[in-house]
Amino acid sequence: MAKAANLRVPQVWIDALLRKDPERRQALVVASTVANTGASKVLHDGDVVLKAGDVTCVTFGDVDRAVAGAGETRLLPMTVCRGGEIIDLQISLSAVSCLGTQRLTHWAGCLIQKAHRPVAELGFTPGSCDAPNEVFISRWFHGSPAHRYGLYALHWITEVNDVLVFTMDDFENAVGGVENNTFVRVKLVSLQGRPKVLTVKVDHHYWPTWELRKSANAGRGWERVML
Amino acid sequence: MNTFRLPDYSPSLTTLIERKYTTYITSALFAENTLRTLRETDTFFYFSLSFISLSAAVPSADIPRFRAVNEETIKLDIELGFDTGGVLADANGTVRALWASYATPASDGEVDGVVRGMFIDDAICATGRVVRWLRHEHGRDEFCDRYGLGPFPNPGTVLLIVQSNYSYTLRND
Repeated sequence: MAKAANLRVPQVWIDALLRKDPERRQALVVASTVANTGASKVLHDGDVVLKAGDVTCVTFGDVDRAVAGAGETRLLPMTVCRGGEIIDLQISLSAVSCLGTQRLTHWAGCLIQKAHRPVAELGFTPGSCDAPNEVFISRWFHGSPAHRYGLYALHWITEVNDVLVFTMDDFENAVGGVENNTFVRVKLVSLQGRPKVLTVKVDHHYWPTWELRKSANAGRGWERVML
Repeated sequence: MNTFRLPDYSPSLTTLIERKYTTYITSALFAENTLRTLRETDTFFYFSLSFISLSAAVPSADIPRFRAVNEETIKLDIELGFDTGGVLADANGTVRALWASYATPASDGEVDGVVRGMFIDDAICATGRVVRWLRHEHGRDEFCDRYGLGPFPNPGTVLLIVQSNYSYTLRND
């Protein structure tokens, strides 16, 4: 609570937070936001959360209950303290899938999939909210073209031969027409947003393109599809 | 979702305990919807069965990895080891938390496992959400089929819990 006072939370709000939980004497501060979410548009790191919905918030549970109470409108009013000023915000809640990875593409010795949530939690994803980039390199194999030409993990692929790619389908279409033993120009963006351009010589014999996808059949097993 | 499982629990199938004790085993009471969270001086009881573990397998992938965010956990003053799961209960035998495995980054870039208390409210709420979503996704019959469930599970009962008198009985042996 002393830290909240340091962040210039006015005394009336400090009193309100103390009344809410006189024993724990704590306040919530925004540490970071998840990329491409409603929260990332309006909340800033360092905002002290005072109220969400109708609830004065001192625990994660308080915020959870406020989110659950937001209902169909998916709009959550929040009151925060930013630089000593009390600000009322309207946060548009983002849907999050709990499905996990459903599809994985192997190309030139690297594994490409939609970035998992911890990546978005770092705060950056290329593309926009409406068209986020989901072509993310998660692994690469030793001795593959990816290894030789530097197509390393933890990068997004945003362009293939000057064609913008956003979805896995975009990517598969873009690399689908590439002849064996020819060079492809690939634009990568790092976790920090730093771009770089590489050329990769593909080898369809030893490193063919294939996809693993969750099958819609009973059992929900994985099936491998050669592309 | 790829790692989510619903354990089905029937005391009669428990092989660890002699049959005469299984009558003592009933569903534990969960401290649900408690607005007052635990405090630093609150008293706890820890119950454990050695063959029950909630440890989550952390794959040796490159960073960034899954981690628990926006979640309060309970840390006890004593170290109970890294490989035992169980529950934390209050003096009435009401389960307040699971004693569960968490992943935490180690200094060398790898992952360390630590065991912390996960509030039972949060655990029930999370399983409830997934169960509701699965129901919605698959429909009732297909859902039961797929996860090998008999009667439709109540989100609060899919967690594996043993009541206090069981622990007491074992000690007297």
